[in-house]
Amino acid sequence: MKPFAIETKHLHVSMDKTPVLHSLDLSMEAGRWTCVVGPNGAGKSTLLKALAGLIPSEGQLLVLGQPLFEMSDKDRAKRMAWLGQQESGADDLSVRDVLMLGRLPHQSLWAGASSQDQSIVQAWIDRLQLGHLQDRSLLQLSGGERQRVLLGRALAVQAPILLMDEPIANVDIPHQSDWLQTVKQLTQQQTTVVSVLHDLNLAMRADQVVLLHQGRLVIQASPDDPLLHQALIDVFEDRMSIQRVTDQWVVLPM
Amino acid sequence: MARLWLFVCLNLWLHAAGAVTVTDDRQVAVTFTQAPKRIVTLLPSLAETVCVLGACDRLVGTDKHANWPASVKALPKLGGLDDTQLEALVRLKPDVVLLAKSARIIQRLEALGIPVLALEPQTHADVHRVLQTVAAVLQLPNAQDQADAVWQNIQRQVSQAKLNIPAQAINATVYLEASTGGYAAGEVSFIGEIMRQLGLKNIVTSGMGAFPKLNPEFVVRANPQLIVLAQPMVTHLSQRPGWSTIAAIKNKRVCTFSSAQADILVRPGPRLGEAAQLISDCVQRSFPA
Amino acid sequence: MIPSRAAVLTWSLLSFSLLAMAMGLMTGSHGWEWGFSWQDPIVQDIRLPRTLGAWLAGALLGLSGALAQGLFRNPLADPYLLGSASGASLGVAIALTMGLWGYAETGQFSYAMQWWFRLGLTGMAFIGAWVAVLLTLMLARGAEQTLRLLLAGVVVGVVLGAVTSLVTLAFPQTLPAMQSFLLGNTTMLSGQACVMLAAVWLLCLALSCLLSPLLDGLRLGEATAQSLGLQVKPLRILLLAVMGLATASAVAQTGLIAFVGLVAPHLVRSRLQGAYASVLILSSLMGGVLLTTADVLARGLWAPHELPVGVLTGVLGGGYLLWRLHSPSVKAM
Repeated sequence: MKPFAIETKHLHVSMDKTPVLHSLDLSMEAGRWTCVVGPNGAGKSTLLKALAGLIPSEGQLLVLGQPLFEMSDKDRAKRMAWLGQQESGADDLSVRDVLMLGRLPHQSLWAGASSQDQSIVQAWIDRLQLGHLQDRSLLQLSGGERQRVLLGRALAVQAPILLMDEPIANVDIPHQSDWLQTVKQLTQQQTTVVSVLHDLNLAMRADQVVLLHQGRLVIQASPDDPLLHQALIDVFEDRMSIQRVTDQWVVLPM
Repeated sequence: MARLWLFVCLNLWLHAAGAVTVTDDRQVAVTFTQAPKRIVTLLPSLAETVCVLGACDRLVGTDKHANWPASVKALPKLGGLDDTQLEALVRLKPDVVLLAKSARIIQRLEALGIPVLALEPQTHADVHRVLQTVAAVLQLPNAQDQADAVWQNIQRQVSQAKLNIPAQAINATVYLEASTGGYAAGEVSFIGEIMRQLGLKNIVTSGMGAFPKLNPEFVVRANPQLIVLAQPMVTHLSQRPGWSTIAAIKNKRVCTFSSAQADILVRPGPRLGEAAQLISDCVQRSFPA
Repeated sequence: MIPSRAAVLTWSLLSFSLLAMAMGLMTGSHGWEWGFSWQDPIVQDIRLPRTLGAWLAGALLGLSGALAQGLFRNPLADPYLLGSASGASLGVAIALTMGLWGYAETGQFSYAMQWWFRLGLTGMAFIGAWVAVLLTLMLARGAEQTLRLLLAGVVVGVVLGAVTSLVTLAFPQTLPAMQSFLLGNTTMLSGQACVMLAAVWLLCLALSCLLSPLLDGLRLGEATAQSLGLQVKPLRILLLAVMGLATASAVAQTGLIAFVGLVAPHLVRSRLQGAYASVLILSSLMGGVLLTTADVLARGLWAPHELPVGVLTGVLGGGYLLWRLHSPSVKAM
């Protein structure tokens, strides 16, 4: 059993005095891909923000064995990279500059980008096939290309934990496939990946699935677990079926 | 000159008929069948004109800036130069309203049927003319003679002031500052005219307008021997960059005035004789024998 | 290390600055004259402080504008966003009124009034600008939400503007001086003022460059900036303070000058991409060039009359924005 990268006990999160997440007990293994799913309003994005330390929470939250609140902002940033759902603006930044921003947690105020930062960014540009776009500004890219760039920004942080909220909403199938491969490679290199996906078919490829409903944890299990299947069908009101097709779980609307 | 004669003749003829017609500064002819007994003025110099002609008791209301003579201060105040309190004015039931020709309230007053006379003295000649016009409107006995007497008095005051200017100050170069924004007063301004009559030379010549906003460098270059501040708000002139080299500042020949005195200097009105005396006094102090 | 485009821009702005300053030294109450002598006291005492001061004030406004646009992620942000313009105007109006009051009775300044005048119009403008910024921050309850800050800034600006109007209504003699302040001018700049402006400029530039990673991170949104380890709230307050200091110092010396703080960052960002630190420095240089040029024109076009420099920056700045509206990139939207 691998050690836990993220552990929570009785995690409560409130926004504007309204409770959003109730008493969550989660444990995400290191070097694994965990996917958070659930109907709209279940609190998935909120959970990710709470895990990233971007919003306050009550209860216990351990990251790599250390309570989150004992960490300095820089340490937290170096350990957890977060990719939000709608990263705004930055239209006049070039692709390269956006990826360079991912190196901020590793830069001190005085020094700027080091040559190491430059080479890491270059490596990710190549890996994500952004080479031909690297000097263009975000304004000039398509939705899918922009999302790959923003993903690259999160990857450039090179953090052991990667939290991603809907990272491939507008991305075409070939690049979805690339993303899946990237995640696989990351987990093989012991990076912990936690993602929120609305596409259940992709979610069922993860190592672990966390199902949330109305701010509560319904179940956390492997995709093969029949209890998970039943829970999914219950939560989504019997409007889907889960089939096994050539070695993968496929979720179909009814 | 011809126009003056025509005016006088017209007046005499109408006077014979019991009515007086005058042309105001808008070139509008206004007729008065009787002498107005209730007068409102909306320009301080016009209140002063009425009082200097001895008809101060006929004033029933003034603008809020009118403050001479002292009895005027007790009169109802009707707002500033552009925000007249119309209701209060109407309630005073004036027989005529004397105001500047640029006042925006003129149309409203005429629409309400209130007689309006627009007079805006801006030069010395204007002051004389306004005296004559107001005297005619007031239907004073020997109106023209009275107006001329007042004017002679003013001229006497100016001449006296000129005589008091010490010899070493004649033709001295002067810089006049007339408002808080650093606007200079040129030769063609009212106070510039007073300067000229006193025999002082303004560094701001007639081609540059009445109240130009000048580059301070110009003043430093002109190096005036005397500085007159007609506005009581100006601070430490020597702190202005480069001004400590100006002769007037080095020799401490700077004339400053209190707020009440400044009023006399900047209002083109019948107190221009006093204005000349004020300046002359200051010049005498600045150029001791 | 600096990308070449930024280097080219830096050198050209520095050259333009020197050119504009040279012209400034040659422009006086007789219009343009070729050549000047360093010995001439007019050059030393009047033209040099004005020209240098104009450049420094422009540099401060350019820096402040770049900070505003970076902090609020809004291309229309300018240094006067947080009500500092209205605050400074009110400060000046009060100072002028106090002076009037003190002088009215005696023709002499009382001791209390002398203190006011020692503080001077400059001091009061500076204090007024700061009071407005603090009011805005209090009204917005801290610097957390940019929208709330913007709205609070508008409210403070409007309210203080109304109070200023009331003051000038009660004391109309202050109007010409107020107008002079509101339209901006470099007339009163002395050597001392230049030293002060230079010190403030260097301080603000250093601090902003140091804190510029926040502005870089903010370009991707506040949440992302936070996730990158930037302490958004305290850094933002610090940058707002720097912005306030830069704006207040410039306004106190030269009055309200329009558009320089808005246009300088625009011009720079249209040519430059990359880390915000370079945007900050170059916006500052651009602001210096813009204001010095405007000042030279203000002094030279109609000598010996002086146009208020704020009118020129308004015309030039407005013209530039109009041109941008018609530019192809905007038309494509």
